[in-house]
Amino acid sequence: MFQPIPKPLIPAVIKARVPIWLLVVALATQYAINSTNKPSEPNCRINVQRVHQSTYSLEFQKLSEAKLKISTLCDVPQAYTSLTAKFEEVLPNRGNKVAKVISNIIARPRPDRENYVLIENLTVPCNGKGKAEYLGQAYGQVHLKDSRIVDVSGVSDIPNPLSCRISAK
Amino acid sequence: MSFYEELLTLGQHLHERERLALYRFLFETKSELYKSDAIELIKSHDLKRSIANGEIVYSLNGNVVSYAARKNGSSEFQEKLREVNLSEISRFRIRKLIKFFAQSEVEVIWNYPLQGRNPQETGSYCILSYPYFDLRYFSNGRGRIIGLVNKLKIDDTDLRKKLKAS
Repeated sequence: MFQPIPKPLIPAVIKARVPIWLLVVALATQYAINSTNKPSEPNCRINVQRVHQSTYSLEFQKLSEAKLKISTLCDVPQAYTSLTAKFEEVLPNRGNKVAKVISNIIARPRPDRENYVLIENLTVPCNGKGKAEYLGQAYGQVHLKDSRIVDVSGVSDIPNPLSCRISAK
Repeated sequence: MSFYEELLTLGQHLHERERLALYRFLFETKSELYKSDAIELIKSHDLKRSIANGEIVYSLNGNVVSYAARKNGSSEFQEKLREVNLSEISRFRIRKLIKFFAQSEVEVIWNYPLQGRNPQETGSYCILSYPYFDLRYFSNGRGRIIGLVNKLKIDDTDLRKKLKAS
């Protein structure tokens, strides 16, 4: 007895004329070419630590000073970091007042850690009477060894109260 | 301990005002020594010196002078920490070199101080981009005329007196 062949509901996949392995090789080659031609964007981060008073200096040297530490870290080697740093006094309900600006700082990484710069030298005299709260701020650029430049900026997370005041002079 | 010796130990606690006074003091008191160093550098193109806890190597390539420095006992120098173009005219060349030596020594004292009472953390080598002999230092890069006006306003006689007395 004649029985009709049932028609498949899903049509058979057309057989590829290009071998699959060749397609995979072509895609992999294209990916490799793209990744060598376009270097990934460098990633640099800045960390502005809280302004603090050096208690050691105050105790042993009678030096009253406010300190700010800033670091930059990239995923590629740096040539140098160039920054401007600000000590800002927080005025209650009146915004911030710039107490001291240190411009055109250049810091070079140590040869054993080329991705990282730590700026420790930012100290200013803090001889004024009274207490005040200060914020640290920094902005500038990281100059990478491959000549690319990355803009960076940052602010210390919360103002820190000091038992001295930075003189505006 | 004299005031000068104390400044050699302060390192990162050496404030802007003290660094400038130190530069002027070195420029005035060591200018004859720097002059003979300048002549030697022009002849030999390389010069080694040391101050505080650092070693300095000056290099002269054509009209460009630069310095490399390292902390005493370190294995590697940090190259080309500052570069300055010199004049073609011998007299100006020597004068600029004298200023460059004073500038470099202040930077090395700031970064590689002698062991003192203050603890020093090991940060990166840090300088300000404009040297003290460039008027733009005094205006934060906003021009030489503003720099000259600001320079004339600076009074550091107290610090310089203390340095000279030491």
